[in-house]
Amino acid sequence: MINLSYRFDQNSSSLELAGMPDVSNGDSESTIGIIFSWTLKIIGCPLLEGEKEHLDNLMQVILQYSRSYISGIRKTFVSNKKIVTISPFGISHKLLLNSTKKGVKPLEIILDDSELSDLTRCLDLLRYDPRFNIRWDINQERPYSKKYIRQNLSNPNKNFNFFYSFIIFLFTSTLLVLIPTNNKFELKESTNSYQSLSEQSQ
Amino acid sequence: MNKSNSLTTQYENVNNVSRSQDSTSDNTFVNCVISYDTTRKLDFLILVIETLQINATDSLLLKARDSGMSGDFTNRVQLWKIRCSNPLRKTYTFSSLSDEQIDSLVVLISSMAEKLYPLIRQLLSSKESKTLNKERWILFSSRLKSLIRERMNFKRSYISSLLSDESNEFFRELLVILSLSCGTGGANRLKASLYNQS
Repeated sequence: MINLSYRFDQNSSSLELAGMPDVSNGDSESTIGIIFSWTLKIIGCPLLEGEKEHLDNLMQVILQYSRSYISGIRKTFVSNKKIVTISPFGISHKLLLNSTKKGVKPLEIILDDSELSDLTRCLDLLRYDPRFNIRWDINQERPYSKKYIRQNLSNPNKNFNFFYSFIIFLFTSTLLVLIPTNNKFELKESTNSYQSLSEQSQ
Repeated sequence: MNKSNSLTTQYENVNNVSRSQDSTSDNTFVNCVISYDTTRKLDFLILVIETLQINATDSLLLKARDSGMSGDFTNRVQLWKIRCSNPLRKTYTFSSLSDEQIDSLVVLISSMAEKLYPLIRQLLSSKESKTLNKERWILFSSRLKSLIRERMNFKRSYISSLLSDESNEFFRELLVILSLSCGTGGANRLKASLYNQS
């Protein structure tokens, strides 16, 4: 049995995978088709390890988060099986890992932008590595709709000009309506003068 | 014999991967339109690359020539004309970018980001010495601001607000975009961010 092990290093992150070729799928001797285990080392954090399912969950969340972050959107992503969650945490990012074993507390890792990009690069390298013949349960990078971006922008540059102009219009029109005009007085005056004229003529 | 067989299967795998990537990218961008801020974003990303590396334009042109890109990217004037599609420039040409031009710019930016990744990472890291990081940011922002002052239309309120902004939030956003654009995955991510679903 051929045991293969490949490692991806990116500054603060190091991802190592062990597996073997899937001969039934026609994999070559140097291709991993079945993953036995994986370990992820992030500097300053405990060692993470698990099965392919856990790695799938991690990849789903990190790659989706990075995709949205590059578009300026910062929102929480939860993996399909709710094992991994990533959410914005100030200017950093909080990665929450729930163990599938009972009685193990969730692990919280705070990543800054550089660590997030290191981790994303590690996962990208794995995803596009031709030495792996594995179908990953992750979505392709897709463009977002304008509506989605507008709704989720972390720093929305909302245009309140229309709203302000509408408020000013309402205020001035109410003022104009409420200010009493002196039409009655002018009318009276005009009738008086008319009367006085008629009296004079008489 | 076995070795050659394994090599050929490996090449087949590589081809399959690239084929599947091509087909997925074709499907992904169906019914998509170029985002309104694409030209602006691409020009600013190149500006950040120029800030991080002196004579970055030469490296860009060399890379374009090496990867066999079209004539638009093999001479300095053509590249400048493409960059002038950014409406915030002093010399705005009222032109828009084609899909091919965007693809080429994404490839170039992605490869340059990969090359400059250590520098980008240093600026984004919060776990290094704060004083050193502050010094780096002062250097970076002052150089980027001088390039913006030189090339952008500072009569535009957006540019003047960028120049007066002390928090450098936009510059940080640009660095994050560059850090997440490295490699094949990064290039796909960057390209997806430049389009909108219609």
